[in-house]
Amino acid sequence: MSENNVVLEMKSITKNFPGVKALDNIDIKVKKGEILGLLGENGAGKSTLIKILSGAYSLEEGKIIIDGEEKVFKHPHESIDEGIKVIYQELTSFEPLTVAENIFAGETIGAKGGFISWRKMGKKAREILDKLNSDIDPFKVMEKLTVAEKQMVEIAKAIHGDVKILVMDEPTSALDEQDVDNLYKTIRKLKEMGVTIIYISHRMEEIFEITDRVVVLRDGRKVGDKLTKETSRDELVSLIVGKKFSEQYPKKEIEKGKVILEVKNVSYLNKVKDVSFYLKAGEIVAFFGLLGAGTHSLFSVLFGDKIATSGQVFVEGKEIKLTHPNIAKKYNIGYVPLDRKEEGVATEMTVGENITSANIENLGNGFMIDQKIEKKHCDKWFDKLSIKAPSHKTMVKSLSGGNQQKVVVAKWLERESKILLMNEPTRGIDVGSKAEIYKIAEDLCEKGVGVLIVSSELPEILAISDRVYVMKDGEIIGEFKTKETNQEELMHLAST
Amino acid sequence: MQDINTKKKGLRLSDTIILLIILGVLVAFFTLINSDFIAYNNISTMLKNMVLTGILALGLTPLMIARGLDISFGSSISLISVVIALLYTVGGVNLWLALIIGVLVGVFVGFINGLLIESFDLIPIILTLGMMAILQALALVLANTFSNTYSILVMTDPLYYFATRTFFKIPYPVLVLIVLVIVYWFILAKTKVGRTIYLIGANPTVAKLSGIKVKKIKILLYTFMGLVTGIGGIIIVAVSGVGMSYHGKNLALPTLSAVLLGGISLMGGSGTVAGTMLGVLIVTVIFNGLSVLNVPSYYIQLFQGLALIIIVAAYEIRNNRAAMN
Amino acid sequence: MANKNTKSFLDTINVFKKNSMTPTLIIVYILMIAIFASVNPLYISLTNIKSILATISISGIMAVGLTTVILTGNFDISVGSTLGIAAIICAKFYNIEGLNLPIGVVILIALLAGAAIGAINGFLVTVVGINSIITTLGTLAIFRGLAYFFATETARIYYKPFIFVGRGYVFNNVPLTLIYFIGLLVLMYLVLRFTKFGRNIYQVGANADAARLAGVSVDRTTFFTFIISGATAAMGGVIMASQLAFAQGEFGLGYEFKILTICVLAGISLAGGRGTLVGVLVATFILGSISNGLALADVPIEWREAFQGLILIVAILIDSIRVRREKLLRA
Repeated sequence: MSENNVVLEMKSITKNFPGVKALDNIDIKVKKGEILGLLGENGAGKSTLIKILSGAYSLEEGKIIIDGEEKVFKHPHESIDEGIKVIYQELTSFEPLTVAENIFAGETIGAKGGFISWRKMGKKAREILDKLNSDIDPFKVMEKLTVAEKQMVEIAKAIHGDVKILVMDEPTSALDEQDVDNLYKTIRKLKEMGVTIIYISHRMEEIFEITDRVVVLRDGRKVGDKLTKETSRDELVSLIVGKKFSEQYPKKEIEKGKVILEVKNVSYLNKVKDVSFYLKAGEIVAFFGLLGAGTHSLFSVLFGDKIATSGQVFVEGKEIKLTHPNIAKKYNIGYVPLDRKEEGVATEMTVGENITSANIENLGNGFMIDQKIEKKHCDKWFDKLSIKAPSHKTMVKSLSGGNQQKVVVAKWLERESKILLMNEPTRGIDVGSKAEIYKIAEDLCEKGVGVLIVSSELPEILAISDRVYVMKDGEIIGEFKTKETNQEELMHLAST
Repeated sequence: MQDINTKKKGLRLSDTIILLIILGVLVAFFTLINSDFIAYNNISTMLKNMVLTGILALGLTPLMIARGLDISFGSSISLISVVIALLYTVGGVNLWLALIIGVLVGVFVGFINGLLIESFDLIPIILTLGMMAILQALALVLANTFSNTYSILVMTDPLYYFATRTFFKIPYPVLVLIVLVIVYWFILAKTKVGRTIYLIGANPTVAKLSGIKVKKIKILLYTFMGLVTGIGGIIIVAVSGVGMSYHGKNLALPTLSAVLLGGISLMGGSGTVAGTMLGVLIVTVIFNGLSVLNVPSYYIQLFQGLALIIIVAAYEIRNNRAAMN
Repeated sequence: MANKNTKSFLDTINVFKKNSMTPTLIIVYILMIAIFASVNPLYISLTNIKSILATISISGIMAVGLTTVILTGNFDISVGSTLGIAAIICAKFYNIEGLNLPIGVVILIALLAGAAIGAINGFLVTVVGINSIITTLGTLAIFRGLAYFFATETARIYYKPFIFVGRGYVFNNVPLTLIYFIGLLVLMYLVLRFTKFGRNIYQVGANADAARLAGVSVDRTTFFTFIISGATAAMGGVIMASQLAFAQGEFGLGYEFKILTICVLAGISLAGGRGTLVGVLVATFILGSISNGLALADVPIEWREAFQGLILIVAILIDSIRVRREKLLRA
């Protein structure tokens, strides 16, 4: 336990993004062979920290010290050379190429003269995959694998060769229990070999199962650094969220109205299978599922972005054919999409243009846009949602994530949506904005709007929803009244 | 006027000033070398030359703002001019009908381009490259089959008057350009359609998820590109007095250069009619200047290529620099 | 498990992979030959086959080079102009009075010029960061202009050994040019499949970000593919000059088109990262045989060009439909 056992030291790391302080003076030390759990909500700064460690983001303030030597990584390749391997959450695979090539990306496996020996490459890949107890064929093309298999290949890619520090960013999000067990075995084996592991996860049980120590980040600051055996689940949770969720967001009792949305036997390819559910006015209904469970596809279908292969959708008792988002819009369905920057806002346009983007036809009579009307529309939402921006002519890209998300919500309130679909509405935004988004959802319910939410954060679901549907492999496998269930039950159902 | 659109869509003020300075320097340079450059005759030739590039660049402006692209318009103009000439001379069709059919050919080509690109998610430049070959071949075949020549004389009073007479001292072709400029400016800067086009270019996914029929609108923009190509076809027949299967051959590069110079990006979302027209003006001055200096034609082609690369490189380098800060 | 591996190893080097376009292409080719032969029996005469084999090599060689560029997700449409420049360089340097450069040196200069043009394209695309289509559209015009400038009149090369380069036969029936083509194709196939550089090309095209993360130098890889494309285009120019024994500014006009069509038809996806040279071989034969067949069927030259545009469009339609279906099937 002496100081010279420290493999990695990150000293007063600070990182600023436009409008947000993503990391504020973070200090972390990790010892050789230690498994460090890195905890925090989405947007707490975990990913940013990892990207700085790997050289994907430039280091602005602070120091990275590896084996006592200060290092500056300008490019991910330089950190890889130091033995720092990262399994990113968003997979970085070469889809049209083989598994073996993905594992050995950027290297030459083979004989003399720099030539590649496919046979050797296959054999080596086999060895690594065997270590992981995986029977994936090394010569299979990547795009034909399941999400879990792909995850396995990513792990294989990271652990082969010289690895000193292995960072795993939610490695289990797509794995079933069998695969997770295999993963644990691998991690322990790596630990024995002296590999240091930084393990990021949302799942408490994993943290207690596998880590030696945990570091908790909140809003870009380090708020906790504990040995795993000396802490408790409750302590960690309260460190992560600051306050208890239910205290922070007390749920109001709201009168439920008639059923405004009814979905019957909807399927989409093999991603959504025979899904039926309903939503009442004034109700918040949540969908929970792990990666690949089909929740995102279901929302795309409900908004007409993808066209259901079969099934019926009724809005206020009337069957509608959702062939394009403009049909959904016509029936007062609004959509806050998953990927804010790619699907939610046009970052190169102004706040005003974004707020009115679903409502252009009402910006004046005839063909022309009446700028007075436009300004009036925008100002209304500035006040109501307390959007923090200099004016409606500000470019959206200069806003913080939370304010961008409010712009997306405003866009659909502007349409007076009766049904609002929110796909991970609080991903990557700060705690303050989160609370405001929840408040907005609640206010909407009071006005008789029905809200559907997809979220991967169970505390959020438990705090704000009235009912929960759990999805797996495209099917709904459970329905609960939120008051009558808990985190363990939902997680267990979703992951087995 | 505090226009909400000017904030980023237009050229930045500094860009506009730089472009104006470039224009001034070019004019001064050419005048210095050959004082005929600013003679009335040359200016009027220049304006006429500018009309065609200008009209095509206008058509490209909304299309490229919405992330589309068409490079088949050159061949399309060749074909249209041949069709008009053949219908009128060989076919004996009424002139006005021939002109209308010519325009319809352009509209049809634009529609097909848009339909194929949008329904199959094709890369616009590749499809229109293929279209270019087909249209060029059609123009050649039609001209060969029906008149055994590459250029067909079209002698009519209305077209001749249109090309030579003026309306309050403004040549009619220039008048057409002015009208189109006003229409396009109005649509892009002031109307709901214009806003929709910018939104599509800024982010097509967001546009679709805002309930905008992106594909439909883009097909419409391709079709309108076809329409202005048709108008361009009429003008070229009127000004030159012939329908020729090589009329549009050297139009693609200058037009594309003008549009890009005017601040339109291949990534869509930015550009204005004013910027485009400034680009057209500069490109016209350069190429007219070169021909006043009696530069051989192969140089002109060379300069066209250089101009395109320098223009895009300049913007690219500036963007890289901006990204670094 | 060992057994399973060997099987899948064979699977990967198998030309007839399930989603490969090659089998379809071969069937199309056989049908086509049957149709052309029934229109004009001369089509399958030895003389005609020899002439097809001799003429396809230029586009084949250039397609091999362009394939490397497209695999990285870029384009090079300046290849036609590069061909023209290389042909003219051959003629001009050969004819420089008093210098009497050996023909080998002349050819080498032409090839280096092609590589240099490729380097210019590569520089503009990777360092300056201009979209590759726009870059090469510009250089297409520049080098075509230069070609006209240098070849104000036709430049002749009457020199037997040089002419032999393009017109020679071995074993009386096998054109030399076919040997260059096949040789280059096999070489590039091996490079793409068994060298680090080759695999990097695929990785850059499949996912440039991931390639960068894996330490692949995306820019350098892309840069070299442009050089390869420039050099192969120059090879086309040398062969053309040698076959015709002269050079003109018009040489290679519209070739960008022909070559692009071959690549797309060969299943080299325009999105990058997908496709093999086996497809290029078959596509080259198909396209060469079509233009020859159309000529023998007395189809006027203009129609033949239109046909090429049509094939290009059909090929990209097929490519798009295929990619879309794959996306849908991916769970």
